Amino acid sequence: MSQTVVLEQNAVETQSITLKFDGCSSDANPSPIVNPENQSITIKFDDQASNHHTIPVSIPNVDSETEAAVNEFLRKHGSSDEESVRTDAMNDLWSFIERQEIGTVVVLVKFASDVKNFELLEIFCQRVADVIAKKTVEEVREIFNIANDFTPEEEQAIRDEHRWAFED
Amino acid sequence: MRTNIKQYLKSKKRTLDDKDEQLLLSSTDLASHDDVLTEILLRLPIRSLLRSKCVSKHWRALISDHRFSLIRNPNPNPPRGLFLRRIRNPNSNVTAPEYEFVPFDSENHVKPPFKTLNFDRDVSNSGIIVLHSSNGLMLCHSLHEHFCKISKSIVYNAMYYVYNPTINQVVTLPKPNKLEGCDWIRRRPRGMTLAFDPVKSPHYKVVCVRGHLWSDHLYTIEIYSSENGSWKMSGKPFGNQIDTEFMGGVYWNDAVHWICKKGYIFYLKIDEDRVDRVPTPVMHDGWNVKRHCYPLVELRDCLLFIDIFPLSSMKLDVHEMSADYSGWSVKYHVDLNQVLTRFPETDEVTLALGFIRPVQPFVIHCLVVGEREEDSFLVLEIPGKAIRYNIGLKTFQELCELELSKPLRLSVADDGFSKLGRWPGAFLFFESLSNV
Repeated sequence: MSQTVVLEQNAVETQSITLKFDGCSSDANPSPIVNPENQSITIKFDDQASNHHTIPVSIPNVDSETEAAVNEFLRKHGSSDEESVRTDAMNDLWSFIERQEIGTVVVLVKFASDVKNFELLEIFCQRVADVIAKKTVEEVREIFNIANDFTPEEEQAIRDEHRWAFED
Repeated sequence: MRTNIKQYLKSKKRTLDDKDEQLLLSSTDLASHDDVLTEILLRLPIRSLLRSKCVSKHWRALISDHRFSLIRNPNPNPPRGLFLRRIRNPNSNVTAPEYEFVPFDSENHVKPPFKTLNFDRDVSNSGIIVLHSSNGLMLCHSLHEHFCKISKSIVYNAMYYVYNPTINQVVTLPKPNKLEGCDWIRRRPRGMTLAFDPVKSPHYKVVCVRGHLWSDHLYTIEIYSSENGSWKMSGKPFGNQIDTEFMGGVYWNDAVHWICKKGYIFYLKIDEDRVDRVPTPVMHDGWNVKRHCYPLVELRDCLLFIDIFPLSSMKLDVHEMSADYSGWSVKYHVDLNQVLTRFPETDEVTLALGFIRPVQPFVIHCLVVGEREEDSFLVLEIPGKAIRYNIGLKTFQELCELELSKPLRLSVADDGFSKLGRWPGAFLFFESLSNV
């Protein structure tokens, strides 16, 4: 929802314009539209509370399609308080993420943590967990680029201790 | 899909000099960001989580950390299945008791954590059995007997353990006091109960009731606390509890409860060292408290009493106790007629034995109260099968076939004594990362 303020220049001598609007606050920079006929200026404000969701973010190390999908989520999720809209936004982002390589998602996890966006963190962490839950230990090391610092005996000891987790 | 971060970043169409690449790698090096890594690990199913201990020492340290297990332990934590002790096959060479596992979710089977307990290599005869299960931990017991030539009587040497089957961790408990020589006979434990609630505390207690073998005088209670690793006497000795079933203790509301055939529930408030009693909601003549592993059951913060009477009835009432012990209210009326008529095995039992006396062709092993009312269910055993009856929805599912009770046999005899040798014989399994 946006509110429109129309300014009309009545007195030619006055150079100052007083703006008054009720209720809403926004960091978004309003762009005034000038109507040449009656010399009125229209300024539209977005009256949404959580502003940082509506500003497109730039995500390092991901391709533009991914960045666009994340921003689409932020916009949709922040645009409404309605449960169904937010759920739709999450489902869309989730479907998108499922099609991405795990390397991308790991980068997104780091991004979400840096910007402290908990909705994004939840989705990305869950996706990473879902993927690595089915992987072998070696495959998990590959994904995170971790070196194995166990000796073969130490690793075998863990496998013996948790036979329940390893056997199928 | 094998994906490597290094390769992934290199494949991006950016020109990077070495310094930039270093920065990029360190900024995406998740292995060093414990908080984010923890967020991912917390979302892994338990078996994957345990496998992940092998990834690296750092991961193992994170997963094994006491604080991690406190956050990761599911809350609420519904039980995943039931262990039933197998009837010993006389033809088998195996002497250690075996456990059959009944998973509660017929679609997503949980793999049984164990079949036999063999964590104590010194135990050669009789094996290790489960005495009690409480929110993920199990109290186990091994018993040796030998003849003492000096006193000309049997000497018992019992070991008690607390075991977590999820992470396969066990600790041997120190012995209760004054457990020496042949005094054992007169002061044998009548029952041991494990009191563990991970939501309230990572520590557990073990309550041991001891009394004379053939007398109702001088019962004493000793409590072991894992926090300080020692036993202490609780309250004063008491008497007149010969009809109380101390083997079937139930832990609820910071107290251990035992049922008495005389029509009351005897309980010990653990931290107050105080015993008290409260009447059962109903009482019957000729009441068989051991017929089912209950009537008392505790789950999800409530104490329930299951009343099935008369013995041939297929209907039961479930009563719930209020936290201040002021009274009972009926929580469920359950009619099992619809379910049991679907299984011809039950008819066979009734037909085979029913002309002698009324026979109940089923045994209730547990009642699980769900988070929502419609999630509550009973697990029944009929000859050869385990069945889950959903109380709210009035539907049922076959959970699995049971080897331990071939057709026409149940694991519990009509006098209520478990044919498995010791009552009770059914133990709930909860996934838990709690250290013992």
